[in-house]
Amino acid sequence: MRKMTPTMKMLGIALLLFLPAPIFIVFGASFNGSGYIQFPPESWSLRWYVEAFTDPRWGRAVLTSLWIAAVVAVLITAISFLAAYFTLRYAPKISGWLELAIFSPLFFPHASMGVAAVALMASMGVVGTPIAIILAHLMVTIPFSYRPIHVALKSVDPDLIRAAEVMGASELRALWDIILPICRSGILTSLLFTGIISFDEVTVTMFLIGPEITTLPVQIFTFIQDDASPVLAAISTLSVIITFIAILLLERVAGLSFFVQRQSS
Amino acid sequence: MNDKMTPPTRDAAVGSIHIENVSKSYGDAEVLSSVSLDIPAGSFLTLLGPSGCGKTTLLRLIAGFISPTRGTIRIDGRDMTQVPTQKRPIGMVFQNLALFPHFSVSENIAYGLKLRKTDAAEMQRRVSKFIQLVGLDGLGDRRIAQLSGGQKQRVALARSLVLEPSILLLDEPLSALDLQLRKQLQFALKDIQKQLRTTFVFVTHDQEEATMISDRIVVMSNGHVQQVGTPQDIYSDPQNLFVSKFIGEVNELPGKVLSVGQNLAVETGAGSFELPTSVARRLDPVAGDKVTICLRPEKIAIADPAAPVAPGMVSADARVVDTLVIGPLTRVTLEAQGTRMTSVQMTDALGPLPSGASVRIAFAADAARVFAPLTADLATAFGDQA
Repeated sequence: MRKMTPTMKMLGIALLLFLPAPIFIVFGASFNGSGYIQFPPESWSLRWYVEAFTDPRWGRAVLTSLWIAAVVAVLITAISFLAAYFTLRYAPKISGWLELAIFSPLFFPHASMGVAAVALMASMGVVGTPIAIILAHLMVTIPFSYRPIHVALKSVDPDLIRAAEVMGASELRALWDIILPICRSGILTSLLFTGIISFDEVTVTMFLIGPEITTLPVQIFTFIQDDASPVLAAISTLSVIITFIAILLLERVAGLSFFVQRQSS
Repeated sequence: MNDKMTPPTRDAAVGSIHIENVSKSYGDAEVLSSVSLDIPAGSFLTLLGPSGCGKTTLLRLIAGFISPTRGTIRIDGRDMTQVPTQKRPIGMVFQNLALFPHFSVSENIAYGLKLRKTDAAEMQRRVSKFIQLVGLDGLGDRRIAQLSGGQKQRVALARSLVLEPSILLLDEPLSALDLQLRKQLQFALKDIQKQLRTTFVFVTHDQEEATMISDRIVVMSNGHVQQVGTPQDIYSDPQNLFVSKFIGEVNELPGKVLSVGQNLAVETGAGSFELPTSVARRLDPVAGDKVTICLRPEKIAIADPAAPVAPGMVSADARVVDTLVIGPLTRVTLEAQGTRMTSVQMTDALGPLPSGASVRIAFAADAARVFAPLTADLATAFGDQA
């Protein structure tokens, strides 16, 4: 390890403080007794938390976001797993093209994806329903699901499935008994990561909500346009906590190394 | 022709394989060309050949992982073309073993039984029986990662045998092991095969392993079967130069046919030899043909240049280059007019052979084999070997 110069050290510390600063500010502001989002707080109070929990709009938005995140995570993980498995086993030649298609959402600005999504969903007549939001979230999350699963599957010896087949297992049975458990960490990574992305998604979702349904981040965004009430700080603090728990889980089951290192395959 | 009407009666036991004109192509590349082979029930058969000869392809066709482009494979008289892997009466040991890493030793062995919904007591009984059979007593609860290479091998074997398949396919299962362990497991395999009378189809590129382990060997190269026979047959009566070179050691004397009459006269770099025409029975040589005389090292005797040549023997003058004593055997490297040859003799039967000594080499005329030279595509196989 090379020695750090004092300047580098200072810069490093400043950066470490700066990155999570918004979280601390929101956290502090949520306990403010006055009627504005303000940091440091003028007086201390829990009234905004009381409001967050009692106003039914917030509870509904949190629940909507949570169940949509869960559905999206499970669906996209299943889709990615099947797509990755079947291309690796039966059509390795098209795998490059498939990956290009799967990673393409990363190249599009979310705003244009929102426009495209609303056009598509309108033609299907589903705008303003959970189906529209879920479909859009599947598009947004697929690169983040496919990659960890593809990497995990690629390192599995293809003879494992043949061995199970020789012993009498159908292909699906072999997938369930042998391949799934071996790819466990890739699958959990996909579940949690796509769940977090879906839970936090604003841009594309904004195009698709309706009077019947809205998600938490969109609700926050809409709300702040009329009213900069500290209830938003309380809600934000709560959603940071939910995301943080998911990330802790992710770290526990798979390690976060996946996102900071290039996988050596 | 009428297999469906008359059940096969030739084999008492089950586990016979009949391969009829099977070819396999990938695009334009034919990796297996019109292979026909009968594997009797209960035999230990080895598919032997250099890498890329099609032996693994043939094994995978029998397993049903791939289907033949042409031809049929029958097991116990039944056409397997439409039968998926799961329904074939086979077990398989894979080259890299393909053990399930998240299962213990017993769980690996029990997996197939579990799929068949075997009841718990019966499953327990059979798992421990096969753990014992392969010599893994007391290791049932170990995880796969905690086993040595040889132990993993035994788990793979037990896992496929516990289902009592009538045929066991083995794809170079010993290739990753060191020599000592390999020898040990070769004997273990042979033993288990004799006990169970399961048909074993074993793939290897190692001719020594094939010779030690099998009842019958199929020598393959470039997608063709070169010869089928017992290890003894193949060693002493190879059908062509490829087989002769691939199995055991051989001295090659390239030459030209001088005349064909009562005898076959061949001129080589080491001298001209009169051989009985029977040594070229796989060939129909005419004067002027290019041929190769093959001689096993143990067939070349070293004699005193002054001694008379015994009847039926052929001789040539040579010079000793080097001797190497390997216990009871001695390898003598010789040079006969520029052609290098090796003779292997019993150490006790040899007198002193200083380097440079003039000797006479002699061999029984009917111990030689005369073949056509290797075709270019077969010759490449020996490129990998050197």
